[in-house]
Amino acid sequence: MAPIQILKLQNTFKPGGKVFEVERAAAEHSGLVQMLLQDFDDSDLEAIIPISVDVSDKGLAKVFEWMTHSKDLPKTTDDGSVRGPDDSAVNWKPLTFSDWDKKFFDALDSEALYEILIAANYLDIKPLYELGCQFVANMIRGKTTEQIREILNITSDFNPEEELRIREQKALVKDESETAEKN
Amino acid sequence: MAAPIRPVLAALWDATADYDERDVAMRDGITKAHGLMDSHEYSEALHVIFETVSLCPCMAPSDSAAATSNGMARHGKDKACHISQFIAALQSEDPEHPKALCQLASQPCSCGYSWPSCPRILHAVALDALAECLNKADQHVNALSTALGTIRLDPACAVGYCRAARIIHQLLIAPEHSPAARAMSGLLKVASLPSADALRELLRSLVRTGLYNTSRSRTRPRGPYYFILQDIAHRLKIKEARRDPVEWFPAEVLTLIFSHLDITSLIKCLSVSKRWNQLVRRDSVLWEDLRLNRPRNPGRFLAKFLQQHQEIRTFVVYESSSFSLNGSKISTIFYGLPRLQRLYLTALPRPSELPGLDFQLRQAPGASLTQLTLVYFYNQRPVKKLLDLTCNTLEVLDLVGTDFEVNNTLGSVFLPRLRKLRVTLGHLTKSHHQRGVIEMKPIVKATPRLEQFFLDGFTIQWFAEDDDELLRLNEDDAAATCKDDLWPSLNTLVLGPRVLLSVNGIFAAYKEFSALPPLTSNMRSIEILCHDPAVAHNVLFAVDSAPHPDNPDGPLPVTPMPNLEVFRCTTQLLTRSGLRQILEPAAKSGALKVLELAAEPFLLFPDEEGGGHERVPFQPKVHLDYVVSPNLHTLGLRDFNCLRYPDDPWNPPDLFDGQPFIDWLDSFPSLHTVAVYPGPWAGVDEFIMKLIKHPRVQVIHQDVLRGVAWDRAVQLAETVEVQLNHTPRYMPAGWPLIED
Repeated sequence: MAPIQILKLQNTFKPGGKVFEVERAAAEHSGLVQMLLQDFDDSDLEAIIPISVDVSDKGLAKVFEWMTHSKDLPKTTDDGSVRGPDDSAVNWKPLTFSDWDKKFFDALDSEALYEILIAANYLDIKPLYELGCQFVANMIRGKTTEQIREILNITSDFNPEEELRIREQKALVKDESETAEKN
Repeated sequence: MAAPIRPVLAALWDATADYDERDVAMRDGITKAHGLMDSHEYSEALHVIFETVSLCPCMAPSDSAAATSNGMARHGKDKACHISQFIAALQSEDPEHPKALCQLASQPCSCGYSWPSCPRILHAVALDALAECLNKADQHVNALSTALGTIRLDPACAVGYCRAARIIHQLLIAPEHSPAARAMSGLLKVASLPSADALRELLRSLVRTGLYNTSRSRTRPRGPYYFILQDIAHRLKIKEARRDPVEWFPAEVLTLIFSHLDITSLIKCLSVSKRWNQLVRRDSVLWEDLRLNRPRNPGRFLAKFLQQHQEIRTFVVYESSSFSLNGSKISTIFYGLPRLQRLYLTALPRPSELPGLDFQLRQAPGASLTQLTLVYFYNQRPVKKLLDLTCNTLEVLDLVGTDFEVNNTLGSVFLPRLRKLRVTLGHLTKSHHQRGVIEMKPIVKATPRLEQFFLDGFTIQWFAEDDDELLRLNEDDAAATCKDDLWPSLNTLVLGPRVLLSVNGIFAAYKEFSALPPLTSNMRSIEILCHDPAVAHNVLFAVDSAPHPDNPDGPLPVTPMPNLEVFRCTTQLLTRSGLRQILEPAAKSGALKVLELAAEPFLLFPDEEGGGHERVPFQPKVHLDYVVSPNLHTLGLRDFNCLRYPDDPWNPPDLFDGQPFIDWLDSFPSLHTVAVYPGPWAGVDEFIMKLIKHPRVQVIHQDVLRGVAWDRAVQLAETVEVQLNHTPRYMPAGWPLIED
């Protein structure tokens, strides 16, 4: 078995970013890292790979935690194909939350969730990005407008007239969940 | 020795792409001043800073020193006018949209001194060094004044806010009798603030305003000072610092999130905030499919609403007591949505004696409708109207819960592109025999390219048996062979549970003209779910012309159907050889995936030779030994009991033997779903338990478990992760169920 390669990554967006050590197998979830690694010889691997994204080290640590845990999951390569751990082609399967994923996402506050999504978007980690968006969608689904605002800490910037107009439009479409309850 | 560059300055320097000599000189000056400050040489540091500030191009080189010293001189030592102006502005800030500070920065001081304004960040950093230096030299009020002056330089720059916030914070936590504490009481007096709490509140207002002003600046990237300010805001637990991020999710993240939501949640998202409203409304993909589900009071808004969502391709409308479908609404939908492709209209089920929905439409819609679903449209006039207007483009037509008069409608409209047709009868007011008879001949002729057909509720017939018609039919006899050319593309046939045949008896059904065109080798799915065995016999085996010479009384040989994937027949009495003709080619080719049969207890497969009277216990492995399709994944059996035939036929035992069925499962390596409806025998519970424990079975459909047995089975199914369903009759796959 090949020895486990460790990559060093540092966020240079703010000064004094922490240097993260991540297994290569885990880091390769990131399309960006895959791309950067193409320019590296194996001898260069000691060098620190610079990334620059408006995310705190705490948020990045969470992202690397997910990547490390999911390092054996099939990875999406830049040509769009999906590769298993031994680089064999794998059929694409819809993403589902594993129990670990559920715990992982449930434990996040909205700030961390935001940072993870930004980082996943920047680092091009498709499964994490997709799961994160699904998670937020699940938070929103079935909630009232007020609840959505509360969950995501959003303040309404409509004035009362606008609010009324929107409500009229909304009245066109009845709450499907109400229908479901009746049936 | 040159002092090391401070990290913040270094980061700032890295972020600035183009700098000239002057910038380098300013940076070096600031660094030098930092070094002097570190060795407590404050007056020397001040001197260096003043020189550095004067390097900034905004200062006219000739009188820069004069201007700076002039300003200092004019403001004297307490800087009272400057500070109190700031405090007044901060106190009057609107927390949601702070503007006062920006206004203040653009005006000269009340004493007449015109503060410099400069967008160069190094200028601000130099002033910041000055404020730091003054602060370290215990000239706290002067330092604050300088920091506030930095804000005046450029209110969108975070540097001044950071320094001012730090100074105020330092004053607030100063120990008693220190110079800082004295400076604070002086400050309170100057600003006429009642207490330290008021100053604390002021600090929060300053940071909040700073975040607002700096985060909305489009000219300046969010540099290191912005993050320091954000950090301060976090420590002060200011709401804005937390609220900002999620609300300002990048558009692409929000769009992906929205794509996971159903239309109801999207509607909610519309009213969350202006930004969300814009993103949701402008995303045309999200609005392709819309279910307009019993709208509350849409009359006035329907047209406007549709106008705003021109991207709609699928539109589902449910009629309700507060939203009745009428001509004007339907024409609004019809003509108002240029990209509409699929239209579902569900009317309220009306009592049959009342006239159904009726309306007028004048011209064809602008859109090319490919799918039309009409639910509970009893009245045939609007149906005919809609069909006439869309017949050239329709590919899918669903008439769910329609009236038996649909017979006249369907045959009279030519639908050249129709691929999928479902017709199910709604209300049943007529007596058994008068129930809607549907004549297949005109329908078949009007739909030459049909691929999938689903019929339920009707009595089927090839052609009406009027005496006059019969005459013409005989004339047509030569043409009867032409039936072979009809529905050449048909691959899916579903006859629902309520289908009847116009004749009674199986042998009559054989000899009767088949009610449908002969099934071709294209067939992929046949589901005959009705209770009358005559239907299955007629459709599968009926004689079309002369009886077959080899088998004068028996059925015609069936066209081999090697592509057959689904075969479900809920009535028994397919002869052994007939069934073999249907299933063997598909089993051999490996196409067969779903099989469901019925076996009357003790009487499956009457042998032709024995005249159908030899009673044998059902042994699927023996009787259906040719069904060994490797891809078969769903297996169903109804009305069966594999017990040996009882001695007394009038008093059969209650016992049940299902073991042969379980043994049979071994023939199907891909099997994961079983559907068993054996009937109410004693001991069936144990049979189901065995199925649950079967290693390959993952899904079970059954209808026999009750009460305690059901609870027990559910528990067992949970432990072995088998999905257990109570489904007396399940609907054909591929035809979405519309609540009826």
